[in-house]
Amino acid sequence: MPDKTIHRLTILRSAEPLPEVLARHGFPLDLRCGGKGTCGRCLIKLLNGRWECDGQELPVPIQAKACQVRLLSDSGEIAIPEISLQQRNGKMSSDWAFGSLPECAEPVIAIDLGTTTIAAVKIHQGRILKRASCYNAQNRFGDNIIARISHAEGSAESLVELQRAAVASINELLAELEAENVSRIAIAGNTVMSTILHGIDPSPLGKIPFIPPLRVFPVRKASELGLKAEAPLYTVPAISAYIGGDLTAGLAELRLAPGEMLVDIGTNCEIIFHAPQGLVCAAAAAGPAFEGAGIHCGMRAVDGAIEHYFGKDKFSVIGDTDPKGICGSGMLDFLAVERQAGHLNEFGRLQPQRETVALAPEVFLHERDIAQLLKAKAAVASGILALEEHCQSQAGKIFLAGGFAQYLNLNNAIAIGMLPAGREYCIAGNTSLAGAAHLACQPDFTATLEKYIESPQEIHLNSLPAFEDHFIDNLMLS
Amino acid sequence: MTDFAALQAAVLKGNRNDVKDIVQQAIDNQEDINAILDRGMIPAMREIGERFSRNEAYVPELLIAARAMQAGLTLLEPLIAASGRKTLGKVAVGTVKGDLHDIGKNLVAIMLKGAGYDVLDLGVNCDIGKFEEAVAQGASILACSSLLTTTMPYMKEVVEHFKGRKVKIIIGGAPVTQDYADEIGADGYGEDANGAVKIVDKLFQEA
Ligand code: B1M
Repeated sequence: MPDKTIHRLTILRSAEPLPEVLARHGFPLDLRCGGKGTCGRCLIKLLNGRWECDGQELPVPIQAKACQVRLLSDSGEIAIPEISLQQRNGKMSSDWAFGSLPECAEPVIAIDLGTTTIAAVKIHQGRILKRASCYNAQNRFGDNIIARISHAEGSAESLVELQRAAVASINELLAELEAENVSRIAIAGNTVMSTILHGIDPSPLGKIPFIPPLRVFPVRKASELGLKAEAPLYTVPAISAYIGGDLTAGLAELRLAPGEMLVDIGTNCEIIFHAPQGLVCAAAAAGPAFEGAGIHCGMRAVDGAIEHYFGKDKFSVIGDTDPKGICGSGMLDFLAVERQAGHLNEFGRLQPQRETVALAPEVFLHERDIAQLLKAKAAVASGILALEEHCQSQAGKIFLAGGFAQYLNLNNAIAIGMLPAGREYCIAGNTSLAGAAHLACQPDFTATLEKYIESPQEIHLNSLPAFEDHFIDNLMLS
Repeated sequence: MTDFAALQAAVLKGNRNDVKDIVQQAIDNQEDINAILDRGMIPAMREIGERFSRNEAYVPELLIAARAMQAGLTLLEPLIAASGRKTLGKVAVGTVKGDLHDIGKNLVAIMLKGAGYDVLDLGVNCDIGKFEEAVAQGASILACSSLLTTTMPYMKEVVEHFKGRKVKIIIGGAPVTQDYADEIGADGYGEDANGAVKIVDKLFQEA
């Protein structure tokens, strides 16, 4: 059953925005647009009290976006449906599929600090003792790194706000992993995440020429950053503004051989290729469609999401509940299965002609959603192909990193043309966490990491004329 | 005789090679340039634009058709310039400072050319100086594109810079909305490439 729980609360008037009041009381809303009122995910019902939105008083009871309303009377009552809250217990990955951990006598902690999710492990004597994961509380400031940069730019306080949000989330994990007695903590994340965690203004990362304020971060006592641990904190260094420590970690762990490529499929698809001329890397902005953003019934891989789709009325749902929406792996299956069945033409148009297709009673896809998915998959494919063409060489083996890669159906990803055919693929898991774990166990791994950030040559895909051609070609379904 | 129906069909289907072949043949047969444009390419591009605004075509189809159109135009452009063909007006198109996304901007440029306008493509990362140059070259409308929420505010600077001048500023791009256009006082907004053509048509009619 979809969770139909509704929370009824009484709110007292305060200067603080409503979502923040609610977050403080344990009701963090889904603010994926950063509270700009554009995504419509934080809908609540105003039951009584006097409320305004856009300077106009609202007649109660009424449904409204929590991020856009303000209480005028001393108190008011609201009802929050469970679905408007930040989703918990999502699929997060803290596995990786290669290598063994270096021996190390003391217990340590490794953290993968993602834009959306954070995963951590506690390691002792080469073994993983415990895993923990959570959403990054920075999500309420927007679901993508550009939104985070924009927020941080606002003022010194907003940078602090972002830093504290990440720290609060990491602290949850540290508590769960009992961090008091560990001797080291190591963290890997994209450049924006690492920069903000260290309390540094990330705004140069959002502007041409995209120069990172810091690529090598100092070793700090974790408590100096507000973390609840006394151990020293090591940070994996970044290659560039858009190829961060998460990729450095993966690169160093996989030790890419000539002809091998690492692709991290996410909102921002990063690619590192060991070409004949050496290591090259690029970032292809795929967008958040496969994470469910901008798709009518799209959602992250959390309970209630259609995870795999095999045909009309044939699908699997995370958490074995009724389907509430569809996540990336399900959407990708949909494209492959329905194209194969002839229900989608090469442009992604529904056959016979109509605008929407129902997958389940409350779940549908619109042709506009499909167009969004095509853009995301075209960005991934064209990033890989344009980079290969630039190097005049093809990767024989492609490692796929990141959570999405672990759940997607590889054959379907190839069938829809998101990934090129005729290559060997290896699902590498959370390589960011693997690299952080290596660093936590063996702090002199720092030297190796610092060497790795110097080698890849960054290629700006917009400077490759072939990118646009590949992008357009790959918008189609073969 | 040029098969204009086949040329239109090739543009609509996005078949680059057919478009090139037919246009090249027409040129070799000394077909009238205006006929190639007015009976072949322009109606096809208007048609795909119309389908797009009726939700009968989406971005992938539009991009593929536009690319085919561009393949034909590349062959024709030197001849158009030499023929002294009268265009509907001069429009400059550019992606604003700080932004390097140009696929949408290119599409807008091709659709405007397809609709019969003389288009100055200013490229990406355009500062006010670039837009000034375009005005000096006779552009009466500046179409600004932005794909990043961080570069959108530069459009406001462009609008403010040209305030009180004759040139009109129109804006568009994925994060841009009509509300934003109104807020910064732009002369128009194009939701998509076809919207850009419509607003240009309207501004030239009013002028
Ligand atoms: C009147 O004038 C008008 C009227 C209408 C106008 C108009 C002007 N301009 C456009 N229109 C309108 O008409 C067109 C047709 O209908 C439409 O144009 P669009 O441009 O919207 O549509 C095009 C036809 C197709 N769409 C596109 O071409 C954009 C597609 C996506 C995938 C995208 C691409 C391809 C790229 N990118 Co970038 N990229 C993304 C996009 C994510 C997505 N899934 O959409 C987006 C836009 N990128 C983003 C980012 C963050 C970035 N990108 C960057 C780089 C790149 C590539 C180089 C890899 C490549 C661009 C290549 C190129 N030559 O343009 C970086 C910035 C570079 C820079 N300074 O500009 C970088 C900062 C990060 C990076 N990975 O390097 C995101 C912006 C987020 C935000 N909040 O602003 C993004 C949404 C993806 C994401 N990660 O979420 C309308 O908007």
